[in-house]
Amino acid sequence: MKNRLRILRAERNWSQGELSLRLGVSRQAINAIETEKHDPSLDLAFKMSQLFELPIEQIFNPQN
Amino acid sequence: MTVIDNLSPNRPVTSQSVKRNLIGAVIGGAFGFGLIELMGRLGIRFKGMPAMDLVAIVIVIEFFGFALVLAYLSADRKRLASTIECEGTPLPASDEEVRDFRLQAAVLALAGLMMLIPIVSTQRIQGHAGRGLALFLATVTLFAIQTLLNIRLWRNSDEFARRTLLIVAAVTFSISQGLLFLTGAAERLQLIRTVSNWNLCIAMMALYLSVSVVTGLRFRSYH
Repeated sequence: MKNRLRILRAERNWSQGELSLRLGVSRQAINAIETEKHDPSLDLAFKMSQLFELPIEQIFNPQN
Repeated sequence: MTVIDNLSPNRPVTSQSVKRNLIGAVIGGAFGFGLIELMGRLGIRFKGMPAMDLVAIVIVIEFFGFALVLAYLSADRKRLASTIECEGTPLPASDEEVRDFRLQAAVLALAGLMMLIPIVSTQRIQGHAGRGLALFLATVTLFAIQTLLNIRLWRNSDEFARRTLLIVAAVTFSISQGLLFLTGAAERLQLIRTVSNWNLCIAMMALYLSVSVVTGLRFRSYH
C-alpha cells in the first residue's frame, strides 16, 4: 500500500531506527512498510496515526 | 528543495559492496571446503554416499554458514545496524537486535548439528545398538533446545517478522504436501520404489531453506 511514512519520518529527521523505537517494531518492519512490501496491522497503523498526529488516510493511500 | 530531496537514498550497489560480497564468497567457499575436509577426517566417505546424504551435507554447510554470518554480524553493533537499516548512518544495534541475531544463529547451528549426527554416525553404529540409541537421545535433546529457542524467537518477533515466518511455513507446507501426495500416489501405483523418511525429510529441509532464503531476500528479513 502506498504511504507517506518515509516523508513523514524525514520531516522529523528520524532514522528508521528512531521510528522503530517509537513504534515498538523492528527496523526491518519500517523498511518493509516504506518500500510497500508489508502492510501494517490496524494496531500499528493507529500507533503511526497517533505518533504523527495525522488521520490514517493521510499516511496510507490504498487508491494509488 | 523539498523534504523528499533530503531523504538519504537506499544504499546503492557500490564497488565496495561488490568487493564485500566477493570476499564473503571466498570466505564461504573456504568455510565449506574446511567443513568437508573436517567431515572426511571424522570418517565420512563421500564416495558411494547416497545422493540425498550429499544434499543433506550441502544443507548442513548452509546452516553452519548462515549461523556463522549471523554470529559475525552480531559481534559488532554498528555492523549489525548497518546490515539491518538500509539508509543513512543508523543507530547502533540494540540489545534486543543482537540477542535475536544470536538466537537465530544458535537455531541454525543446532539445525546443522542435528542433520549432521545421523550422517556422521551411520557407519559407526553398525553392531552397536546402544550407540544408536544414545545418539538419538542426544538428537532429541538438541531438538528440544532448538524448539525452545524457536519459541523465544517467535515471542521476540514483531508483526513483520512473524508474517515472513508464516509465509515461509505456508509456502513450504503447500509445496511439501503436494510433493508428498504425488510421491505417495506414485509409490502405491508401483511406479517408484519406497522413499525413506530420511530422504523425504532432506527434500523438505532443502525446500524450506530455499523458500526461506528467497523470502528473506524479497522482504529483507533476517528471521
